[in-house]
Amino acid sequence: MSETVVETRNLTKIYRDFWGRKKKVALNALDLTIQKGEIFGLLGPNGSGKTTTIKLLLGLLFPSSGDAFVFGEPAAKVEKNEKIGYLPEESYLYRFLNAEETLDFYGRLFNMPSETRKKRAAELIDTVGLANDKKRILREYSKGMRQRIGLAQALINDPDLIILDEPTSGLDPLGTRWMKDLILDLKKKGKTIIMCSHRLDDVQDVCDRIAILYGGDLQELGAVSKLVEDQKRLEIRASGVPLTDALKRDLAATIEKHGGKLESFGHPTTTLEDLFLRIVEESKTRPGRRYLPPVETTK
Amino acid sequence: MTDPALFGILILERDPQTFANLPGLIQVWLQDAGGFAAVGLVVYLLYALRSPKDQPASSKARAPVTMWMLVMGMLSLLCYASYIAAWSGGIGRDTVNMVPYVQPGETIPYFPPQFALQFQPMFLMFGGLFALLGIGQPFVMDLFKLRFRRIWALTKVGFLETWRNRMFWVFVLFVLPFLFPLQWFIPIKAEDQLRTTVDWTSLSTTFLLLLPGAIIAAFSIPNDVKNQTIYTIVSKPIERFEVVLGRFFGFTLLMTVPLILMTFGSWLFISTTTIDEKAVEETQKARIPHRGQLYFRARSNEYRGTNVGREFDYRKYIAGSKSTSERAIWAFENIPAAMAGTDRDAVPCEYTFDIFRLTKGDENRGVDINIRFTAWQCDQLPPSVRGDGRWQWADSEKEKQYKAEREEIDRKLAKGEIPGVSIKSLDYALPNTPGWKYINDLAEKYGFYEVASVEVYDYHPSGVPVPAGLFRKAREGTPPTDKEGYRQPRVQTYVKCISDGQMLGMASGDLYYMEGEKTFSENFFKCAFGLWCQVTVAIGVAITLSTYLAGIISFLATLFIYLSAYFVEHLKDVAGGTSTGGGPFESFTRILGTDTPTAQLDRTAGVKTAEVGDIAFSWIFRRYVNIVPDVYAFSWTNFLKEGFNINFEYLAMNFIVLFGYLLPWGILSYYLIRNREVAA
Repeated sequence: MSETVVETRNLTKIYRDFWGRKKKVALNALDLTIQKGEIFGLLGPNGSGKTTTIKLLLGLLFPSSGDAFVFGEPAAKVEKNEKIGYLPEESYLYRFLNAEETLDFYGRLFNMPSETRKKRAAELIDTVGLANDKKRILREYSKGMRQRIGLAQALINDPDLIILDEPTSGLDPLGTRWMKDLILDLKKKGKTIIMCSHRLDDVQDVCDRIAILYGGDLQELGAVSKLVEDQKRLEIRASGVPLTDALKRDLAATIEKHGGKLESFGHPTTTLEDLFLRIVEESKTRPGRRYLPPVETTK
Repeated sequence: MTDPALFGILILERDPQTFANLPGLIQVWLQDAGGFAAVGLVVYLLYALRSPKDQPASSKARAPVTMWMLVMGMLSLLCYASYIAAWSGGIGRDTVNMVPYVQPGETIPYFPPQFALQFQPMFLMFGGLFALLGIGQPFVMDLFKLRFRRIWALTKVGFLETWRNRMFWVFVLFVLPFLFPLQWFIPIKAEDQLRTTVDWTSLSTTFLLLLPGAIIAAFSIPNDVKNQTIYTIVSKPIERFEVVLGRFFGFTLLMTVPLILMTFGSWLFISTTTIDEKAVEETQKARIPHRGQLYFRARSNEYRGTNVGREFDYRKYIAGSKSTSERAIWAFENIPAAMAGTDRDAVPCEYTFDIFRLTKGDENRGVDINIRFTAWQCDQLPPSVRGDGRWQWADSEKEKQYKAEREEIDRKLAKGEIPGVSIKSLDYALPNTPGWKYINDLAEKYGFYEVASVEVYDYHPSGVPVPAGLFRKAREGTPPTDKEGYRQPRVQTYVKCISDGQMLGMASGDLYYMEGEKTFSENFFKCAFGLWCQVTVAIGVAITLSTYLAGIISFLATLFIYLSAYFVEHLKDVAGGTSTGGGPFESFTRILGTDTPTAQLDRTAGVKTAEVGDIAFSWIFRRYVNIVPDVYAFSWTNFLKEGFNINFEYLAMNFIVLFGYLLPWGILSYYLIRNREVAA
């Protein structure tokens, strides 16, 4: 039975002004459960509530109502952070430190002994490919390099849950590939990963499940492979047979009669990008919650 | 027998705090800090308890309410309710710390707080104590979660941030006072050369440390929030208070480095510069004074010294006349062993008096005084007959013996019958000469010594040697107690002004005995500790405010609170309702009516309304005065520039006061940062 790493119950965040008047509902009654070993994607346009969700999980924001639990602990508890690694969107690190000092600093925040810190920092600097630049201060780094050192700091404590906000932001195609491979590699090691991204192809490549948010509401939730299925059409894959009009007309009944071999027969997929854009468009015309969680059955 | 006028003038409007003041200070601290804690606890409990029962676990974790907090809150409220009851019933008033009545325009003398056992101060103290215990519980519990490694990491980062951003360049400005000495621009008396240099370097060091310290501290956390670097910090398993502590220690360390460099630089400059001989003799030393308590007595028991009407003058005056019974008396309850050592010949007594002339007097002449030194065994009584200014020995037989013995020695000296002694009278005996031995022996035998017709100048330091034998006598046995239980002081020093038509003004710090002397260099570095405390206060306040406010607001608020310390006496006047011209509302009324501050106002409805407004305002001022740091307690420049030793006890007290002041700010910052949404 899989272990729940993150759980939100009716998690809501409302921003208020100085007088306590409601300014914006950033997140509305989010119910989510993320299991151990999953790569979970949070998708949504700007202002949809995905970064708010992450900040709530990290305790950077406090919920207006509802609750969030990480490793079974309330998000406000500091102790849970022992097992979390966080890469913020812009890699907000101290730019006057060099790579080694940065990792040493964050290692100290985890109260790691000196030897462990040094060993771990050296490993991570190698992993993120900054061995030649480890003595340069971050101010001199390119955005991609900062993203790499940001990832290294997120992994300094060998976390069980890694939260990545726009992990491929600023990376070139090679860097993006490297990042995606690393994420998949982390999954193989049993880590749980939550990632936010605007790069839908990246999400589609690595995520097991996704949640799509719009206007603070959860619009879709499910496995990527399921969500991108188009239930109204069928896809037939065939080989060794030319695709003629006659074949198309009589396909279902006559493939075998024409001497071909039916290799697959299923639902064709659209791209995640199409799905995402369609949901956003639909949400604009029909405000409110679209996703309804399945009715729970007693175990 | 007046020593050359080469001694220091240390204006002591208040004595430095010593360990003896600790009980009183702790009681007042509990009352003040506890009062704020009580308000905080009530607000906190109301906030936590008004939340719904099924509030999220995250909210419960953020604002825990324990049985301990509730019980402490209840006990605190009970104490405050008891205080209000006692106050309204006029029961158990604090009579120990009552501010004495002063004439309008007179400075209210400062008395360090004394521990008061009456009901009202005790209720306030316990109310505060319980409130602090209640509000401090989560704080104390979380202190155990703090880890040095994390705090040190944050300390280092704060230090490196400033260092690598090259903010240290601002301290280069420090060399300016040395490149352009003040004496180039304004004429300075030779004997004031060191004073001016010390003042100038101290001022520039203070300015250069306080301002950058407050700026860096005020902007640090807000910048972390603005740049979002704090996201990657608080998403780690750190206690948020560690961020505050890390910043605090980081910036304190950061400011300590230039402070050490500047102090060392100043010291090097002073040590290598040619300083006028007079200035060296007057101020380049560290005297260890032994101070007593001043009181005034005359034939009338009611006499408390004369107020000559000088506004803001904290001195009282005695009238000059050969037949006056008015005396300024310094009482020394204890005599340190160092002053009474058998190897010691004489103990210098130094003084600086103010002359208020009722007649012109003689040209180029000061006024004449007599000084009488007595041990407790030689009690003195004021004259009982009008017109008789002589104070008598309580034991008249002993007085006769003393006079006879002294006359006999003088007779022998006059005839040259004492071998090895060339002087013709004991009046001319000087310390470290054979004749002084007879002075010492007499003083040790009778506990009495007197010098007559000593000339003093207006506000000019002078001194006389006092035989050490008198102090040896004073240390013998235990002085008796009077009817009211007050123990007689071991030594008393009586000053009488004998110049007709002149008045001599003095305050407690104007006369002292020289217990010993230390080096100027040691004193110089000790003085820097006081400055360090001041900088630390500014950093602590700025960081606390920055946990909630924006950088610029925190900086301005810190500046406001800090600068208020320099006007605290006036604030206290307004808070206590003793300000000349009334509070802000009455003053405004006076401005509108073009009335002077001392003019009697008509009791119109407007004036009465203004007075009510002032009462409300004085309540606010009293609360505000309680959060203003006691900057004067940390300032040792006067000690240094006048050549007085800064005791380690004073510095230890500085540290205790610093800790006591910053602790409530620390608790406040703990709650502010803990409940702050850093990503909002």
